[in-house]
Amino acid sequence: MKKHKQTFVQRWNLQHRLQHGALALSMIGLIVSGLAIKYHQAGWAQGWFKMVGFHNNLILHKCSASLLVFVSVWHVAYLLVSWMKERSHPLSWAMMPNLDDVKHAGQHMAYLLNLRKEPPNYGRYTYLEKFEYLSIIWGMVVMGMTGFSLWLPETMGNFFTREILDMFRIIHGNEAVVACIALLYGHFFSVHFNPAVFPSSPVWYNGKIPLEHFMEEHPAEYQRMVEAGQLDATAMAGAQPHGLSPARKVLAFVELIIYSAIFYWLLISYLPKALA
Amino acid sequence: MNLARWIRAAALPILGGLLLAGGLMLTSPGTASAASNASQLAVPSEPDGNKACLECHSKNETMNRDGKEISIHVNGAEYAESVHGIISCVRCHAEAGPEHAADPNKPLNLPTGRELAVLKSQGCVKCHAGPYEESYNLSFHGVAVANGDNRAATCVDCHGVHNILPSRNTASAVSPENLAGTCGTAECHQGAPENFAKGKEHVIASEKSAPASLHLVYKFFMILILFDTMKDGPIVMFELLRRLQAGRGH
Repeated sequence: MKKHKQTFVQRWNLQHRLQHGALALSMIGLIVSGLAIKYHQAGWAQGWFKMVGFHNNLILHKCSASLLVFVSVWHVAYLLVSWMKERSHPLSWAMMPNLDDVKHAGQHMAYLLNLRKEPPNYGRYTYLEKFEYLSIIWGMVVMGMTGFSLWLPETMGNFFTREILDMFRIIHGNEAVVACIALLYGHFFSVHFNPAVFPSSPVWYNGKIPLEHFMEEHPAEYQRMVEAGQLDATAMAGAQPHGLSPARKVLAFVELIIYSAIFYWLLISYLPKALA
Repeated sequence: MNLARWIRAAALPILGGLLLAGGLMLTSPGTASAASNASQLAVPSEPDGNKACLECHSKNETMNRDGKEISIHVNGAEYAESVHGIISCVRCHAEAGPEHAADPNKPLNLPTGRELAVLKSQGCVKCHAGPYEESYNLSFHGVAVANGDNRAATCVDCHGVHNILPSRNTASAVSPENLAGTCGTAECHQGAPENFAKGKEHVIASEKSAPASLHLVYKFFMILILFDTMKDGPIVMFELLRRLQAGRGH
């Protein structure tokens, strides 16, 4: 009865993981080098510049940006190949937003406000994950276009006036903050700091998601895989969505304090700027 | 009514008194030199010292510093025509004190090249403080220089040194006609197109005095970031609360 001990579900293939790894690497490089420029007066940025130098930091930023462009081309190529090889490599449309996502968003709000017992019946990707994926596309278009103009102002100056290039710089530096908030509150919470998966969901390195977490977070997808015979229903007979162990409850409490503190700090920082 | 009549009656004596007092002040010993030469009235800070400086510095000579041949030449006429022409040399060249006059060949321990441009530009903001300094510090040029990347433009790279003219003067390096060319020097943005001049420098986007387009973009993002904070923050905070509230797992 060994197969009844199955506790992981394959969620990502090697391509997904390699693309995600390259994306993560480029994002880390971009955020570190970019925020160092934006907040150059901060102590950590000063230390960083002393260590690597301002010019090298700029080179790191441009290399990371190039890697990000490469990943996006790679991802589009992957999607195209999947689309053409319909049989061996079916293209997944699971990331496509649909009306269910709107419904899930409403249900999620009700769940968060304690007006509903269970979270929404999410499929392979939750509405927040889909939103994140679309945000990356949108963010890359905005950051890529403005960033490229700042990289080669002499060339882009042929198409844009100085005032537009200045506008691009304001957009670039602030859209970066938008992206960081999305990463910290969206991505990092859902796959790292969520007390149920802390310190990290293993999907990004081995492609597997713990069964209990899968059942809890993607119940509709679980149901679909069981019905399609891809999962052995009897194997999960005893598995229940998990609550939190006492240690993880303490973690959740500490996180609540930290996330609240960052929330109020952002509020206090940006409220006067927005209202001024 | 009485008051108005009193003021009218008193106006002439008061004005006369002021004129007399002004005349006395101008001829008093404290401003004797200014009063003795009417043409210098408008230029009270004109230093006789500049002539002494130019005795040597008008010559087309060079000196060796950091292994480089550096010109010591200053075009006195050009400087006198520049916007700073009424200011004494030592206002910017404090390093050239009596010691320098006594022994002109003794090195002043100034850096050369880009380092000199950075050092000297730090002097500009002693007078040109406020929005010019602040906007430069916010600009990418300013951030790069502040963090040790001396390749970026400093004050003197765009405005010039002894030949600085106001931007409304068509001969100025920063006049709309010449700006793209100034940006486009070989060391900087070589081949900078005319578009480089179509916008304002020394802009603080967060302030209402900035061009409307830049200020609006800035405002839009402040509101967007605030909106994101208020959208994402509570989702995570309520999710954590919900987790804490839920019963223990097995």
